Amino acid sequence: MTKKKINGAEALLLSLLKEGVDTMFGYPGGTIIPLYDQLYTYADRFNHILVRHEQCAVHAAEGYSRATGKVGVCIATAGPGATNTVTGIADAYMDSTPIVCITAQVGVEKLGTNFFQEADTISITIPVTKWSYQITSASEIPQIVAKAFYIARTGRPGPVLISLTKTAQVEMTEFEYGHYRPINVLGEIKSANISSLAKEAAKMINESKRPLIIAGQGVIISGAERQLCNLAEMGNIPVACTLMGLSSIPTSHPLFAGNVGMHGNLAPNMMTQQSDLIIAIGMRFSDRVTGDTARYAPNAKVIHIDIDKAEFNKNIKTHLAILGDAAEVVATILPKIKCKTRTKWSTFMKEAWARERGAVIDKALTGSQKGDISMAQAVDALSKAVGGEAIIVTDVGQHQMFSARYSKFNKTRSMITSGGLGTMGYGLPAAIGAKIGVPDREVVAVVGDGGLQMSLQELGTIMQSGVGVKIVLLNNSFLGMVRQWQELFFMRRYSFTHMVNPDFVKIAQAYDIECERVEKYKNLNKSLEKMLSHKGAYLLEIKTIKEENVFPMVPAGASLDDIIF
Amino acid sequence: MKREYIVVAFVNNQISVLNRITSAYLKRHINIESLNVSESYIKGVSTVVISAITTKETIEMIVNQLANAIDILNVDFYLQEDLIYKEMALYKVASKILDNKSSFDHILNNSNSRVIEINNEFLILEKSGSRNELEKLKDKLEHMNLLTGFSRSGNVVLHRESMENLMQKVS
Repeated sequence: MTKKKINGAEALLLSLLKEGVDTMFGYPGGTIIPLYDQLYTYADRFNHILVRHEQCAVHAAEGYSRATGKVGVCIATAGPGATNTVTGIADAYMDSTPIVCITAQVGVEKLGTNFFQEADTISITIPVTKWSYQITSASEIPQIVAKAFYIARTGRPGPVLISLTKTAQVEMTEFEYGHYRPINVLGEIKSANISSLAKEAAKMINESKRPLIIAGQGVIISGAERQLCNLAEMGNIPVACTLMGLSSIPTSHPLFAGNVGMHGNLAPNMMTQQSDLIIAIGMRFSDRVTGDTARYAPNAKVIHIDIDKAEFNKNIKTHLAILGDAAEVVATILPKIKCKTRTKWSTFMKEAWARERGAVIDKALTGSQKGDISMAQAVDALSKAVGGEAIIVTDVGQHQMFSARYSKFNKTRSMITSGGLGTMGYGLPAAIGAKIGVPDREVVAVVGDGGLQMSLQELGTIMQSGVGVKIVLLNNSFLGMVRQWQELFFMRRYSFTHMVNPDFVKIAQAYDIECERVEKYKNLNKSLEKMLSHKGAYLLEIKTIKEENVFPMVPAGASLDDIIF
Repeated sequence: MKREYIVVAFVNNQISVLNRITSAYLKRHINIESLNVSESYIKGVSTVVISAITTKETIEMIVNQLANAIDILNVDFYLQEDLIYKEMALYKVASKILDNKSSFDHILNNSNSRVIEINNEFLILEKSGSRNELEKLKDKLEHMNLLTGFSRSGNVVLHRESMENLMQKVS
């Protein structure tokens, strides 16, 4: 008996179901109509969120993935639809976010003819995808979808692009699905030597007087939060987080040293320079973390635990590289760790914190004499109002750094931000994706007036799909981070960083989104409470002090020793 | 220090793999001096040989990046002396070279090349060897004002390593 034949579009949807997909973010167009036609039939099995721009479909899929740990899925049409996804894909590539992006392509016989809405998506996305494939025949669909999901989530996760020709969408095929089993096992770590390396690592840790763990997003991706916490507690080792690693350990944990890098806390940056042993877990020593690499951690040996061997010795010389899954590696090290008191070291941390409080934090949280609101105050008040329980999704700029510095996190996967690519416009759509992924958690998008206007149209997505995301807009009428650099390094020549903005409250009203504007600190807490008690989407515009700077700051290319504040 | 590094990759014989490889060079603004793709001794697996002049640090980064790519099964970098490698060149030579028979015999014997086509206007010489050897013959013919065309293959390489070791890496 022959099997029933279905078209490629249906085969694609069935394949997605087999991979456990129930949510996707997309935008239809001419070439992808056959797929959307099938989606019409399968509407009861997929929650398809109609975005307002393809770039935001990718960011939403990223937010979804970062909040849930699952693979995010987004769909766009050929040509401009596909090219619009590129920024999002590049963002996911830099931040190791697993997504599968399905873009349409013209019919096979028209490939390469500059057909209407044809763009060579595969070539365009090669440098920013982990893998990509153009499907030209419906029969390929199940195996390629299976491979795409496997690749996206395995090893160091990343974006995969499937270019789906119209031919493959409409061709009839028999459907048979099998999960991907690689011949050359991808991401399979030759873990035979983990135990011997772990022994060596434990010896180094036990002998260290001033150890510092630096936790990156790899801890969260690997699900190694518990192991990280155990390692810190068993060895009495302070833990610093990178921007992407924030929330991998509760900020209230006594061993949490703060976040490292350009706008990080004084304590972990100073500790990096003083430390005799850096234990880097799932992080990549990005330039924003290290500053001048030649003068980075001059006294420290480095143990680097990562799943991507390309990161070893790339930016910082590694003394002991352990290739593997963070959870597995740390768990192997754990039993050999001895608890040390290291009183001097913890005093050093406390003193650095006291110094930062005195020099920066207290001042930033005081605000202005006229009762205007500083961004630090706004983030601090928000963090207290949500009790550290919310997922904070940020855009890119000053508000992002304030959010990283002043937010409190109790749970993992609570800080979602564009770290590597620094994509303005990321915040709002990523928050939409996160809220769709974890509807039971409070999701707050903290955005600036510049970034919000790069994806402002997504208010339409919020309205249409009823996404209960809270938007805290920190509006200083400036592209604040660029202005800060202009002030500090370009003699206050504010070249095109001042913004004349629309009335955001009126815009929110037009989209039927509850909103309020707050301008004075004395009203801030009440406004935040009102926002949080509202069921459904809400925009709170906080007018902030115009020329506020994020400190401390390690100027680009400077050493961590040269922090300015 | 910059010098010539030869990257040898075993890759799935599939569309876009080559673009992914060259994009790793492009990203770092490195010019590819020679590139050769051919079927390997394993079915469905191609050998890609790329030579470029760069530093050891950069070539290490490129190889690490390539090693992560999905359809690249094995990749490593070498110096010329690590590999058994040859290039082949074709020389289009004006037929007046035959005017002086003894000189022609001398060139042929000395350069270890052979004639693969001959007609009234030109003849084609074929020679394999190292790049230096190929260049030497080219210079000589040019000097004699006889060379009217020249073409060279990329590097064809074999590892000194045993076949078993390689098979293990690739499969």
